[in-house]
Amino acid sequence: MAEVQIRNVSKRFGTTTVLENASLTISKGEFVSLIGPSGCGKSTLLRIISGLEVQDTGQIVIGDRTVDDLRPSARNLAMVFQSYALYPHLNVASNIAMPLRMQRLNGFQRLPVIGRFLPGSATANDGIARQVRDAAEMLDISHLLERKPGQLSGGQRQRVAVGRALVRDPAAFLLDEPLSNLDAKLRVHMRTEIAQLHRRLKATFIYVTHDQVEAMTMSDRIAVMMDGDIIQVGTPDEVYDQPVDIRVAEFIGSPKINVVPVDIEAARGMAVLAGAASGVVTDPSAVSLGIRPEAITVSSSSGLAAGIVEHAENLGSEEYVQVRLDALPEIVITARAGHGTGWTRRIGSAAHVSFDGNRALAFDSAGRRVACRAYAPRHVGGKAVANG
Amino acid sequence: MADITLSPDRLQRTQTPATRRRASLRNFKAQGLAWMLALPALFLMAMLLLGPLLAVVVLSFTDYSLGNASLDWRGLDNYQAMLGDDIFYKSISNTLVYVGIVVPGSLLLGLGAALLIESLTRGKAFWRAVYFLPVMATLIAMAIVWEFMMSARFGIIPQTLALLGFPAKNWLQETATALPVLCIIGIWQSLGFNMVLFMAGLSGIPRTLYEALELDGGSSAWTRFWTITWPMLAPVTMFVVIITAIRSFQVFDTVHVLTKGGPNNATMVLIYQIYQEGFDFFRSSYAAALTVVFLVFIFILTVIKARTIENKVHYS
Ligand SMILES: Nc1ncnc2c1ncn2[C@@H]1O[C@H](COP(=O)(O)OP(=O)(O)OP(=O)(O)O)[C@@H](O)[C@H]1O
Ligand SMILES: [Mg+2]
Repeated sequence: MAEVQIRNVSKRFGTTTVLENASLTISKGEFVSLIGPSGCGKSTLLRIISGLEVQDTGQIVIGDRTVDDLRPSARNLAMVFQSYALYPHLNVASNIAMPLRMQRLNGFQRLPVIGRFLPGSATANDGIARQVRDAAEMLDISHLLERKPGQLSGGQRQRVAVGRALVRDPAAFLLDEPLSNLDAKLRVHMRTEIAQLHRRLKATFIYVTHDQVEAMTMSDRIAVMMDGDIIQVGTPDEVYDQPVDIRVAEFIGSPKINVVPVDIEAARGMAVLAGAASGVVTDPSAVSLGIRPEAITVSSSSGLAAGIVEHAENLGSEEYVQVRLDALPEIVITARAGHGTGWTRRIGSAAHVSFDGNRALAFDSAGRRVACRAYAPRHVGGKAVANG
Repeated sequence: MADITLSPDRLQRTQTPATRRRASLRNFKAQGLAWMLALPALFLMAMLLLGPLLAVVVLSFTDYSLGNASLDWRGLDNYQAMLGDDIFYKSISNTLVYVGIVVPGSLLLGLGAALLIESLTRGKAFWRAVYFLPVMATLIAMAIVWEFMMSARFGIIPQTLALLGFPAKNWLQETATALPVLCIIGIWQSLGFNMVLFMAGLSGIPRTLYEALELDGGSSAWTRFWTITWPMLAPVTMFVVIITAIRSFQVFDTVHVLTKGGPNNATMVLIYQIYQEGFDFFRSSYAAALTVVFLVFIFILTVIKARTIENKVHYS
């Protein structure tokens, strides 16, 4: 178990820059997700940490040692590959045993047949077998130990890959989209299992994914990557509620955050949305507001902006309503409505949307987050006065 | 639920004898059509494959000789003669020695060449073509080149060895060295083919396996080879062994061009003996009996191939 530091790492392949000065510190025992759209450099960063890829500049520090001069095999990291990379010719037990065999047996003791009779190998092999059994027990794959990977289901293979990673005591676990080959149901299940495993092992986990639900549900902290940059690191709540950038806001959260263009009224600093005062005061540089679907109320009678219900989805526990605004016909607002609100029967009818000013986020023209708060009239002698 | 499930016997009971008869008639018609469609292929197979084979087996029990108008049934006479034929023993043992040297030799060198060429960053295509050249060239033509190269007076090989202090001899005409030289030519010839097969096998090994091994702590080339490359190549290796063995059993052209089985039958191999008996001495029935022995060897190899390649050495 160790801390992992990524210090100003850059990497380019030919002329394309894949990583630009990325820095991140993962504390001992922490579960950090690297998340970002496809091609943003998540796998590359993970492979640089593992040593399978060499960075152009910057350092990787594991524990208190800079490991840039160490081969991957000497860094004591365990990796779970997206394709699992199980040895197809070895059975499950031998697959899980591989890192231990490499660690404890020398080249001669690893030889088939003869190796077993060399001095020292019997005790070592017993110890290895015991640890393999323990790991298999933990992952509930004891009954599969004799099978070849080709005879396993996707979920079982995934467990074997995790088993191979956890038999020894690595400095950190690196997982590259380990659940992406599984079907939706199994993915939810394995998500829970990996999170529990982390709690039990108290080990350092670096988990690459492009599924924001996985990142939100499993991580202590999330590092959001865009175009080779780590643009925000924070707890799931921080990243969700306080995104520093419109790209983070749009990437995290499902359904996606609503982004609407606004004008800023000079006098009070009030954001004007589709011609109506929005009730939110922002920094003068703001050009758009981001509002999460759950901060939006949709009503058939009154609200801030009028529109037409274009589509509604009933998820059972809640409904998502999509309203196209009359004043901004290119904007479709997604709002979360409660259970049994019946919007699916009212597609095509008129509706009004309004939102909770305390939950609005403002962004400037470069996509950076700027100050924003709900307009609260200051009461001076019973008269409402604009503040700000 | 049970009452709406149609069990097979229930289905049977609902069929009247008439429908059953109609069904079997339809079945018979369909089968007849299938046989008719297969007939041309079956006919050709019988004429071209099974017929000649059967003829050889039958001939081996007679005293037929090429050009004779009649033949007599002789039972196992030819096989009896074989047991007393020193040249037969010689050719069997020479063939086995040849197979025993050429198979491992061309396998190891082919694998080595494949590994080395795959590790190159540039010029892969060039080296692949160079090693594959002997496979594409006709062996008869290449054998003539070898004959020149082995010539005692001006051949490059004896002349070079002479510089190193060896006697300038044509090693193909020495009893002790003729067969080893043929083996070397055999290896030279099959190496390129095996190399190409191994290269195909190597390119089928996923890179991530090596990366996984590296992270598991295996970092030396030796470990990589024995833990991943060699076991992953097992199906290809099995195929290479069988194919090279079958081809080596059939060695003929180099013997025919370079040594004619000599000196002192030192390079007499099974096929060359069959050729001599059949076409030089016109003892067709004895040649047929030798052919049967040869076919038994090939049959055994084919069975091994079918058993191992198709059942065992597959990972999936
Ligand atoms: N060996 C390589 N040579 C050239 N370009 C590469 C190489 N490996 C990755 N890239 C490029 O680097 C960029 C980042 O790749 P990377 O695999 O890190 O993305 P990722 O974030 O893991 O994406 P995904 O979610 O699809 O796995 C991509 O544009 C990719 O094309
Ligand atoms: Mg990736």
